[in-house]
Amino acid sequence: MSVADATVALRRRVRRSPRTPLGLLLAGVAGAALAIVPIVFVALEARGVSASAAWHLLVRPRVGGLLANTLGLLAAATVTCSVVGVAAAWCVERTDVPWRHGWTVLLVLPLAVPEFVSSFGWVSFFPSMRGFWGALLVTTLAYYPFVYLPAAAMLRAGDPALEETAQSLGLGRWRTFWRVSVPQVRLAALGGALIIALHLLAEYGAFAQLRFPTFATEIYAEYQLGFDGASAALLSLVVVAISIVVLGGELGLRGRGRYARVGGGAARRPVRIRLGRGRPLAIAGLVALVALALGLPLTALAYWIAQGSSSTLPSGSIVGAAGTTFGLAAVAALTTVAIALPIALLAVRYPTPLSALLERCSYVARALPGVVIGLALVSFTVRAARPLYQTSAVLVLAYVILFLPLALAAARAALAQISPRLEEVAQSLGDRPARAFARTTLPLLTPGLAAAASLVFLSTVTELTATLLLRPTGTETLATHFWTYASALSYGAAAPYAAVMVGVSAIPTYLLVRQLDARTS
Amino acid sequence: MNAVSVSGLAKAFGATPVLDGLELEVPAGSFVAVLGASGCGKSTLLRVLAGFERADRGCVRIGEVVADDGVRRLPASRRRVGHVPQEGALFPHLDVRANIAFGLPRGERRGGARVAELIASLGLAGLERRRPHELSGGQQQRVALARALAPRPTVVLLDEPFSALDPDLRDRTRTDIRAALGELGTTTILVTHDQDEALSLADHVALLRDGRIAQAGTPQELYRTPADVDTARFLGDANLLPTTDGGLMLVRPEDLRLSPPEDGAWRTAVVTSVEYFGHDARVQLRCEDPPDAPALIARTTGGDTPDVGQRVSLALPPAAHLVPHSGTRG
Repeated sequence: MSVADATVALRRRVRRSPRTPLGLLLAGVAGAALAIVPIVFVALEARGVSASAAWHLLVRPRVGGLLANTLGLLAAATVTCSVVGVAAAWCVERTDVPWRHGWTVLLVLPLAVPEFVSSFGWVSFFPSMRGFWGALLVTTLAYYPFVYLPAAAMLRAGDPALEETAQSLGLGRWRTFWRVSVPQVRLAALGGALIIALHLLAEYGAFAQLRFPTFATEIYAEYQLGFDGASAALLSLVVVAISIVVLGGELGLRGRGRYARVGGGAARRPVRIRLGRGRPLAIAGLVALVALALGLPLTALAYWIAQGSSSTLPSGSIVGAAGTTFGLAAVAALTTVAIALPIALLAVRYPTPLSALLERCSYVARALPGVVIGLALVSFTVRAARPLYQTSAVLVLAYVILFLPLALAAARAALAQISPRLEEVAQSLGDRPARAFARTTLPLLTPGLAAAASLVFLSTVTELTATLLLRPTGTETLATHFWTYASALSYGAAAPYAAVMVGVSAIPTYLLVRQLDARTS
Repeated sequence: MNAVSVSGLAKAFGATPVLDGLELEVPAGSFVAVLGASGCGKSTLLRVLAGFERADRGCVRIGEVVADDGVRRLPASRRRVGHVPQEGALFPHLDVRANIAFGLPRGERRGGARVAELIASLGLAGLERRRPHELSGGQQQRVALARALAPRPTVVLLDEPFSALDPDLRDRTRTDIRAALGELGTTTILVTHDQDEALSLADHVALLRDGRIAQAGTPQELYRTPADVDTARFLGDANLLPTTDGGLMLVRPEDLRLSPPEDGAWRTAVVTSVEYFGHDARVQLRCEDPPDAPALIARTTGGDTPDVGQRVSLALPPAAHLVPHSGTRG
């Protein structure tokens, strides 16, 4: 269906809600159409494969091994992340471990280290750390904050009366923990675990370094070996299918999660459990966790930078790469927010079945790993838009599709805070609708949009996979420079690029901690 | 001349009719209250008048202009209808002065003569630089009204503007706003579910029920001579006594005079309960004769309250209004 056909069909359906401005609707349809370009192209590519060829490509030992690797790691890492994340959150929020705010910051900060940087840290120090166990260790240390954050929020806001009641009913300290505290955080932890699963499915760089083949690394490798579109498309569809299952689970959970948010107005602070002789043990555990998750990658970077400075470091190229990266990220951030805004407006202000559909289309990218989006855009430009092949425009388009869900969620949340009455009042005072929007909603929305833009900016700075596939020849970002040097084992040359990326990512990570503090104070 | 005139207005959401053949005339300079139970379509009526919803059928005139005839619709921005929503909806990013000046032409926004005038007449002096969150609920409502009045609208619509305020503040804000509107001579339509508010503030009250105006008139007309039983009950406590010819006689509680038992009284009754409010009291009575007579409600002044179980004589008021029995609706 062409965009024009779609628009006609959409207009017909929307007629019941006559207030939806046509311009807004067209902008929303265009944005959502952009977001589903990759999945449409992967599907078209895969359709060209005959059934028997597909059978041969999918049912072979290699694919079985990939499936076992991917699903095995998915199962193991979500469990280890949940255990580590909940245990750390409980120690910090509900026991008498000292220096709570400091621990919160330190335990969340590993999110600022891109996975391919922390795996670099491990591999550069322990070259033998490869395969499943290495991957499990590195991903656990990189991803446990996704469980830690919601679990800590839940434990901080949770009603201490529940635990007190359990104790008054004769349960001891540990049985109270298992039978009352853990069920309370279970939903929050499960939500975090599903986000981790999506990241694991999409991650390329870390697993390439750890020599642990997953679908993402295999798709990339097949692309590099010689462009076998059919095989890559089929493998992509498998990843997308697994992601959709995971995403469905997460959406289902979020609906139920609301019930779990009990007693938001509980003014009392949770009672902290005295650990007694266990306290040094808990502190030692937290120290070890922070040392491994944050200390080791940062030490590795510092060590290799020191080593590298003895050799001749091409300092000019890091400035150039930073300039290129920030420029691309700025364009991507502005474009993504501009595309997300109409979709958010439609979803919040004109809720119709159609606007819900547009919003869901825009979230489809959450199920698409960067490597799939990258490959789909390569074949899209080669087949349908040849002049765009190997241009920055396509790279920016990939960033837009990758990070549209991020921007949309932020814009939607900001918009939901603003009463639609304000625009109505402005209209009754003589403003035409567009002017009323510009004078009331837009200024109030600006901080939210700025937050959305910075999230996209910072995610773009550390994006590796799609950038590797789509960058124009000669264009180097911080991530690709790092990757080139790290792959060539020039650790000293690679480390400075990683250091800049970690420094930039520390900002949104710190904001996450601030958000946790603000929400629960 | 009418500032607003509505005829045959119909509006449905999906299959649910909300307004159905509504007629309303609002004379210029008057204060009209549209009174109705929650969910009767009051807010929808205001939103159609303001231009935020379109009419399915019927005709809405604002001043001389046809604003909506079910086919063509004048956009809200060109109606000259001021709107004060329930929650005030002040622009949170602007201070009091900028909020009030919002609807003025750019040149007038700077000079501020009109803004100064409204700040004075609504008692907002000294608050010009405050942001909405720094104002009390009553102050917010007065700013919202000043903002609506600034561009000199043909009519200003008040959508339950006092219901979010606590009782003490509500009374004072009501009095202030009524005084300011009277002074400025602005045509006003107030929508409310509170019959005390409607009766005490408005020149005319229109009772909205089942999507149409059940009765319109002065507060006295509606209270003393309601057209049907539902209207009589909605406007306050009502004793409805069957008459010999099948009609109902309306006796308001304050019309019943209580006196010590005496022979030859209209009725003799026993006090079954007393709710004491300080300034007055609501007294429930059981008639002794005939034994199957309906229970009665009387209102006495606070200084003259009977005790439960006490026997009293009742005097019939000199003139009572007859409500046609057929006026009863389900």
